[in-house]
Amino acid sequence: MRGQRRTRGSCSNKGINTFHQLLGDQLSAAKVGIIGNPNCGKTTLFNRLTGSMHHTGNWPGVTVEVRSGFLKVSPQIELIDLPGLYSLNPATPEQRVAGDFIQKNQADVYVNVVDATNLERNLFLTLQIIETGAPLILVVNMVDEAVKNGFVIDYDGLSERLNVPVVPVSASSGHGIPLFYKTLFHYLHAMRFGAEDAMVSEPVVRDLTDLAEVQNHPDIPDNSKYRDGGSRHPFVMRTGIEKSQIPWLPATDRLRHNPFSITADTALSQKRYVWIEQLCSDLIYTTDKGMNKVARIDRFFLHPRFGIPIFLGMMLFLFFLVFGPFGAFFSGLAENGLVLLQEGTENLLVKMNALPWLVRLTVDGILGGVGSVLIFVPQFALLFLGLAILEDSGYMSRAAFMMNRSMQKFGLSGKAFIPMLVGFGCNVPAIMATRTLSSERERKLTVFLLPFMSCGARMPVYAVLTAAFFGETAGVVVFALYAGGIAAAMLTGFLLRKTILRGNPPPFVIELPPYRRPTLRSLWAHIAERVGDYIKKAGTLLFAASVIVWFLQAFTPQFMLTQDPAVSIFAFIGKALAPVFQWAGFADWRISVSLLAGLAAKEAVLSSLGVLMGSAEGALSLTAALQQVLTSASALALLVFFLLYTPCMATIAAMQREFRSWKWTLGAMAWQIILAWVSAVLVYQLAKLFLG
Amino acid sequence: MCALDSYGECRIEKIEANPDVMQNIETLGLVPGTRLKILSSSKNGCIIEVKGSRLAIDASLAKDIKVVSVEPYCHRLRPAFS
Repeated sequence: MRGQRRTRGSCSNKGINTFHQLLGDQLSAAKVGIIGNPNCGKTTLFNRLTGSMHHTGNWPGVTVEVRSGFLKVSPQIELIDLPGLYSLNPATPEQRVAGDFIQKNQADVYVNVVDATNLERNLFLTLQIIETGAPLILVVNMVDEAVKNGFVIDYDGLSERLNVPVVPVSASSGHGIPLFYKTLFHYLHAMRFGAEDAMVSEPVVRDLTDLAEVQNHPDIPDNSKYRDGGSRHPFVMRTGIEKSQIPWLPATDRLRHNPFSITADTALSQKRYVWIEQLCSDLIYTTDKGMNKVARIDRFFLHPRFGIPIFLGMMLFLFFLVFGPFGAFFSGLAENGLVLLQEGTENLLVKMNALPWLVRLTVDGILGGVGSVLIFVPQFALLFLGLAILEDSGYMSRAAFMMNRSMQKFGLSGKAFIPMLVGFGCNVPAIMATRTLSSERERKLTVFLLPFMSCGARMPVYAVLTAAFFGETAGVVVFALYAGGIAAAMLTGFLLRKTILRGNPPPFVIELPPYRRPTLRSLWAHIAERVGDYIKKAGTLLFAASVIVWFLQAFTPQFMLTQDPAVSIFAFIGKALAPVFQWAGFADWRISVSLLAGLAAKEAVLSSLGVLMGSAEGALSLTAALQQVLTSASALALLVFFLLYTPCMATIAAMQREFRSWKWTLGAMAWQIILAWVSAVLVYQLAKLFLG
Repeated sequence: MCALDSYGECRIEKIEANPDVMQNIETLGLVPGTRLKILSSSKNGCIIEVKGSRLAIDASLAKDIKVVSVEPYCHRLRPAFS
């Protein structure tokens, strides 16, 4: 990027003018805070400017933490990505973090990102920030979408009326990013040299000439005014602003006289909105299109009667795709590859005259353990592709709205459904996502029952067991397990609501973002993030677990190497634990110790089974070995236990972070184990009657 | 004056919610005097368009928002259910 020259008059996506590059290089360290409404593209801009790959999505509340990074083109400038907020005195903890940040004035400059298609609502926060006197650059994001929807915005006029520099960009495509750099660098220089006025605002439409639609659009009235560029508008650096200079702030006594008999706060909000409405009607030209399409799609997805069945149908289809013949085909290929690799390695090591126990450790322990998890990478990626499409399309908020009424019966609002959907991917970010909920009671309740959502790490175990025992109907069994997890969550919610967490869910309002086609770039980012974590975990945690498990099953309690795992240290522990599962039908010591290993990570159950079963039965596959130990009834009971019992360490740590109370964390863990055991026993006893 | 449960263009007259909730929905653009358009309404709640964004509101909150109907005005859109 550095040193690339930008041709005049065209908007290159990556190029930055050499002069401005130099300008950036000369800057001393500075902090820039990115602030704006939820779901207006702050993290997308942050990723674009810093080159990072943080999680984005098309629903309000994706970012719940403060993150920082450094500008790609001039690394001494620190960028801080804040959670989205609607106003400076917000209601939820994650928004409060952002509100505090700006009120304590922790950055040198604030970049206020606003959504071009939704300026009227977004500018409310902008006015509030201007009132605080914080130095501000206004970034109007998603200008390409605004053009597509028939909006034409007079950016120069906006800059003039608000008296701040305005930069139109499209963070997802990179349009206008060079102009942003230019503006930011000028601004920081002007601040450093204490300039009263700064000539930063440039004629902006010139930088959007690539958006040919702006000019050639037939519906647009007359845009010659801003195509010519308008004036260079000097704006005032904000250091302590006089309240009387702000045009939308009325004299205090006038707030008391309003026709609606409302509080002064509300009246002030009203004044801001009225001012914005006038501003928008002066500066935004709209042609009539775009929104009707959304309405049509919504009439389908949000149908009062069929909305929920459509949602369930889509989920069922996803599970069928992942766990049915399609997904199994890919894992089958990977499994064959693994067997070949194991045989090849064994031959190679034997030829090299390696010690026999080293051969067994490598082939059974490491390859058997880690490999049994890695062969599910294709199915895992497929599951996350489905979830990523759900996140990026804008459907999340809709699902939350539709589930609201059902959720209320269990003491939750529809908003709590979003963390639950995230939980199908991984419980840890889902537990963090509860920060977007507005009441303490609802947050506690949601964290308590989130671990019942089947995370992606549990998927490989489902896949192995269902493929071994249920064949064709595997997809349906897995869907039933996911549904069972939700049922357990609902039951828990219901009980808690009747006992320790009494109260009603807070009123539910959620923004429905426009539908967007997920971009390949962001789908790839989602999948790469998760699959990368999965592989990393397989290479580190599961690798270590496999080695430990192998040693524990290869040595007797007297530390003697043994060929018979049944007399090993592990068998010793496992046999002590196994009788607990007598009534649930899987009292095999190898299964009980694998479940114990699952506390480290859920995939470790599978890697441990791979080590224990693989080395015990010699050449037999894991599937065949499992079929010898379990019946379909006990396999089902094992699946149910595995679904519900205590989640992995990372999830427990996340629960503790949100609860901030060991009493609650331990209570939740105890409840999970009890519920898992009781359900497994019930399922086994019932299934025995039907499946034999 | 009626609760927020019919179709069409309305103006918010009054919001009868407790102050916390009020503050929460104010920031989404729902203050007395705001014009909005009700796009759909069912027992799940209703979907409105206000200040260029679409909001979904549950039924219990919707009944606290009192609106009066106004003449359809030429805002930026055709009616969604024509």
